[in-house]
Amino acid sequence: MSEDGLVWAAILAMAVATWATRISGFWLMGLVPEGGFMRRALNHLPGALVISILSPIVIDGGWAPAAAVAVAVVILRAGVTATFAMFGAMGVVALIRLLV
Amino acid sequence: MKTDTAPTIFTWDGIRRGARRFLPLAFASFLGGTGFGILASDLGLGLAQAMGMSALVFAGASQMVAMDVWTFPPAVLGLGAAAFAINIRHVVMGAALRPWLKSLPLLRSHAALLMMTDANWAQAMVERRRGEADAAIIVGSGLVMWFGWVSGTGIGQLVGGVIDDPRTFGIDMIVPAFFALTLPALWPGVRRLHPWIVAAMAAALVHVVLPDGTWHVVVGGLAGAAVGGLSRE
Repeated sequence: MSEDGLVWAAILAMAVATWATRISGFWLMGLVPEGGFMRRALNHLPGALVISILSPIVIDGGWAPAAAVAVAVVILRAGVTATFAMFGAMGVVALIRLLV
Repeated sequence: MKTDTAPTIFTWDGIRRGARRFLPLAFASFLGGTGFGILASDLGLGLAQAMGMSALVFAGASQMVAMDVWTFPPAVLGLGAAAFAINIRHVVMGAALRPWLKSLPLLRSHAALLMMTDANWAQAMVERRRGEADAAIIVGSGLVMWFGWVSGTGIGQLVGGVIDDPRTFGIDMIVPAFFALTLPALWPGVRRLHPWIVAAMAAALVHVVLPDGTWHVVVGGLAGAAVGGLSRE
């Protein structure tokens, strides 16, 4: 397959995988036992996934992503919307790079 | 919980109300899409490819991660598996919607499920508890966010080519900042932090052994979830 074809194949693979996640909970609902290991594990899964995404980025990237994460969380906790917190974190890192 | 059993309806009025209420979030989605479009352009994805991905996948986190690990030619199965792993939270969200959607025809319930994002799902759960019967608000709110996300991606892809070094404006910080924003909502409390610690250690270890790909996300996520599942509430 051409490289362009493979790019579209990857986009389609991501789309099908995501559609599956959006639909399957509706169907699996009856099968997951209440109060069991599965429910507790599913509860912790989103946070564990985000941490797993972030930790190698911070390990590889040093101070910049660590600062971006900290600034984003602080701005968000101050009650500002998520989008502005994201751009605020980008701005702070850009500013530090400009000055240092 | 009496209101939870309000009969389910699905109307054009619900689509309109959901859309109107979510206009501010559609704008936020537009800005997020712009960020994604810039990343995609920086990576070398074309306008149609970037917008096509946003239109078909419509899930910010997984698209951001895909940009982080993308190669040319792309690893088709790996990217699909990573998208599944990152969006696995949708499974739990969709499960929570079942009581509301189950009496609808499949076409309608699945329209709502495919338009489900973190924001309009959370809003829909709140509205349902307040007695909302019309499940079409999920479709309306999802649609305006979808339009914002896809059009923002297009603008970002076009603007992105103009910027030489993405580091200048901190554009390489979009991914860590985006994920950092989900942390406060997911925070399990200091006493139940061990799943996060295990996840971070497992992800770091796998990342050192297998630097390419997203296996660190899959292994770290599953390890953290397993530890969370084994611990007492």
